Amino acid sequence: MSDKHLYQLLEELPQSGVTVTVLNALDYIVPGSWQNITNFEQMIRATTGEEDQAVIQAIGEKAVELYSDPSRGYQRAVWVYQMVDSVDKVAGAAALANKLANKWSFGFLERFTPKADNAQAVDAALKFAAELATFCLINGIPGDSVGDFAASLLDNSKEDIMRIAAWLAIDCVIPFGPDAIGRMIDGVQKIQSGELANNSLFQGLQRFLPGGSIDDQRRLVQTNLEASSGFLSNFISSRGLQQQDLLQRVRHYVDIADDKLDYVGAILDMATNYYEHTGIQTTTRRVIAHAYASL
Amino acid sequence: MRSHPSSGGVPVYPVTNEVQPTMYRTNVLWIAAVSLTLSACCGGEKKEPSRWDPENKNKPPSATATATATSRPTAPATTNKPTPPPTPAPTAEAKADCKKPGTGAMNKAFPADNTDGFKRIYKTDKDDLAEAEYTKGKEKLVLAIKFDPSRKGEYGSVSDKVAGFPYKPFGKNKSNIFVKDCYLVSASSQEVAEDARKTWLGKFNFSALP
Repeated sequence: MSDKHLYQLLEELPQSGVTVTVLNALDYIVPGSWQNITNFEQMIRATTGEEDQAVIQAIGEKAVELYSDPSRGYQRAVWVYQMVDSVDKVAGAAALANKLANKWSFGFLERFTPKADNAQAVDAALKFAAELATFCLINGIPGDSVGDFAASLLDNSKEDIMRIAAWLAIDCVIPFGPDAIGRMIDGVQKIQSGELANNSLFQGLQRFLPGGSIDDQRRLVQTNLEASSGFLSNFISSRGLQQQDLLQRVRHYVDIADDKLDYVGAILDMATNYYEHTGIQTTTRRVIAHAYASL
Repeated sequence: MRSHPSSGGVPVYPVTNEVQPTMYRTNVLWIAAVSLTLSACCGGEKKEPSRWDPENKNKPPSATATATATSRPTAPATTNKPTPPPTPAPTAEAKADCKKPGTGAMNKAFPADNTDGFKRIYKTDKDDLAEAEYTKGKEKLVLAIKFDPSRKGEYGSVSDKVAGFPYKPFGKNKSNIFVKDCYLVSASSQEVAEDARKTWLGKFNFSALP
């Protein structure tokens, strides 16, 4: 868990670099939804529309206070966002990337070998489970009914929709193609409990997933994906997400020589912190909204 | 089988004595909810102290001005990392009259879906805060109920009333009433003006508040 204040987490996010470059390259999927806000005051202004400095100061102080209380769940949400991006990475990959002309180069990763397909599919599925876990940690379970909760969960905008778009592009469509959701469901169905128990991402996420056993939790991840498949597949098709098109767009900014699509997806996943980056922005925006509601 | 250059172990989440909130509801709702609906730079230089740091006493003059906002308690000084602020001691009256409602208890007080053609989406359900967003076209309004008996003194002398409860605006986009000496009920919007926000405050079902 981070021992930093909320404003520090936000203001330490990069304004440029591999992660921001890749997010900008994928912005066309959800045009106008995401701005790379890394300034606390700017986030307060964007969230509330307030302009008076005394009001902005009060909102900011209240937000810092709310985030500082570990029982409110915000710190755990940030921990999950960070954990998802920190496991199974080449340490410091982003820092080692070279900027050549207008492109980022990953020549140092030439000898990298991605995980087997099934393991990569399971990781992608677990990231979706992480999305649900962080939503509940930040917002609780809004509404009185299942329909209320689902409507709330689906009402994504801003950083949330950018993160889902990046996840679908980098973790799903680039490595697995248009039937990515089916491949993930298949991967979760096939994985043995022992193998899942050794999965780094699952180990980090396990305590946030309901269920009394690994099998229960595996079924939960699978059920959530199956239930979401209509929405996610529709997102992929309606936004025109296609492997070759995505690859071409990303290659405009990132120099990846290999044509193997699972390799490209894995490289992008390892070399970026898009999940943590947009996750901290999501958390900051929601804590500010909660602070505003408290004043 | 090919190898993967993993960086190593999973980060260890610090153990706390907090209770996992709403885990039972999470169990039930996670699966069901999704099933129903989804199927359809830092250099080495020393930094200036931040205006947001609870330790920083040198805030901009405007931040310490006599605005409504600054009358609220601020985060306390800490050592070198965030720590929970001391909970404001509620008054004896508040202790006697107000009981924390818990998650799910405040939702029924919100105006119904499709009120005046606005679509309602619940956004937050914490044990002391419930929030719903109402949208119609480009108009967006956030209604919220915050359980906060400590505000009683602040609203005790307010003469302006909405729906019979003391009313005060906050900033330029938020309207508050203090209900039953326990709840801060608010309407905020960047598109909906203050008069209309006041009207929305009157649409709450206050009898549904525990």
